[in-house]
Amino acid sequence: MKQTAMDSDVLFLPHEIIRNILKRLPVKSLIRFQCVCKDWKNLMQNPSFIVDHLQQSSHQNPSLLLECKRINIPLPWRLYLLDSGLQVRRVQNSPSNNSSRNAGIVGSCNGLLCLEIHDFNQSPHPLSLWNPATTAVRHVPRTITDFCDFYNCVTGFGFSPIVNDYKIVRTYAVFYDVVTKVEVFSLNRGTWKAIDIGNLKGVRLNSETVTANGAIFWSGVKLVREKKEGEDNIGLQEDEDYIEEAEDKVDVIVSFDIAKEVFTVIPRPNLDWDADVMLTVYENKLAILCDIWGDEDEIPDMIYLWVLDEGTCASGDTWSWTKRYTSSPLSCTLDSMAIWRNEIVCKPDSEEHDDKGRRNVLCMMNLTTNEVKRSVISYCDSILRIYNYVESLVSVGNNYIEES
Amino acid sequence: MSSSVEAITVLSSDGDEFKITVSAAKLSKPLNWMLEDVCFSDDCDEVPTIEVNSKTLVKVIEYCEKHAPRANSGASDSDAEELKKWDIEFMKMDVKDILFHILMAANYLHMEGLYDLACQTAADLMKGMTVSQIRKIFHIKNDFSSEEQEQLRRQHPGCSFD
Repeated sequence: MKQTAMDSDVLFLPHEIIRNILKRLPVKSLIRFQCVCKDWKNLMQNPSFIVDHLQQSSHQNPSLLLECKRINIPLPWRLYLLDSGLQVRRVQNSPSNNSSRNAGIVGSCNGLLCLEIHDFNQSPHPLSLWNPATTAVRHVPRTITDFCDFYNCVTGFGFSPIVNDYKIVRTYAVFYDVVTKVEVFSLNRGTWKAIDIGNLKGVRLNSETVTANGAIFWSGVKLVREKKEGEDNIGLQEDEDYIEEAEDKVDVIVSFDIAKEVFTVIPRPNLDWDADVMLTVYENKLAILCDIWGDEDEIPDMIYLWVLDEGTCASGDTWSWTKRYTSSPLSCTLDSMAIWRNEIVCKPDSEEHDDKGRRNVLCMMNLTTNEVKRSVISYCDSILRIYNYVESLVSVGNNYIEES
Repeated sequence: MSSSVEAITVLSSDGDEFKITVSAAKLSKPLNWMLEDVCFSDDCDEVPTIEVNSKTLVKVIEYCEKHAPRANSGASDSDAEELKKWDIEFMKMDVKDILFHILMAANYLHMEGLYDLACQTAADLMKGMTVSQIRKIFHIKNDFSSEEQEQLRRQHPGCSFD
């Protein structure tokens, strides 16, 4: 594009300015504007433009995805997008929508979603990477492990800027016991690879996961095997009752460094034993939302926010937990779900309906002012989980040829 | 430069004279450098020229004068809110006629705030436009062959070349 004198009749904007305008456009417009000319089409596939657009989009319109189940209808699951203007719209074209199959979100990162398609003819369930904004889908190839039906999979998904790669981690456990195998899928490589379980030895993972700052996190328990005197352990290993009784369980957070492919087991802060715990991200760090259920009159319900700081601290550990927020006593029961724009997003326990019978209220608890705002939004279904999401042009790697 | 000078005179690319206060001129790095380098005292004949046409320079100076007090002293939230509303009103202008000129001027004068504001305004205006409208305002020719158009349409069913 040529630049001519500013005051001539025909003004050509320099490339740098056009780029700065285009990075502010929604993906839907950008896809349309690929057809303007070759220059623009190439720009929209340019990795550094995609990063600029992602940063702008994260800053300008951080959104939430509401994963919902339909009332009284088991299938299929539905997704809604809640934008920063509190407008809700249904997200269409999910890779699982073509059939009656259900699906679940494993993780959401830079505009890409990792989905687990609940296909009961296939174990483990197949995975897909999906960019809902560009509608691009990539089916992740089958894993290399010979899979037995009694395996239980816990999966995670995230991005590392150090290696500039998206990775899926899949752990395998027999029934719901400790992890025995781990495989990692790299989007750049396009294949799975088995890795050493390392520090994950003796750890049982919960399926809920988040990603932040180049790592994937899960909560879990570390089983500390105690050999009791006079007892014969041989032959009892498979007995679940035995495991429950004879092992000490420590609540832990497991982090997976996406670049180095190494697990770290971090003790969880001391929380009430019956607290409801939800992993989330605060200021690009792992955080725990902790709901304390009070009893009717004496102890009120409360919500706490714990944040994990990594890096060597005074005690010599490479992590530390800080309780960053304590809510005021709650007047009604709230279920905390995510952190969004300095607010804790909560679902009221008793759901409210409008005159058409739609569930329609979310509560936003401001972390600075402590103020709780009720936001009336329109959606039809019952929310299962909430994910932070940002619209992007990030590619799912279309040069990959799907395996049959 | 003597500290008693409160306003300076500059020439537009059309040769018209404009006055701009020193505090407002400080919003632009090149203007700031001029303040340091050029003699602005009354007995100095030299009037610096800014390569921006008169119509655009009027708007740029209007923006600088409005934003200067806040940039120099900081402002309360209510001031920030008021300024935001003012920006929206200020940016109600024709894309081709003036907005693009403002973009060029803000870029040339290194005025980050105005540049961001103008880019965002242009983006908001473009959001709903058709491909042919975009080509018209940016003076871009469709350089795709018919085969390439066909391929793009296949990849993105929502694509339109018109």
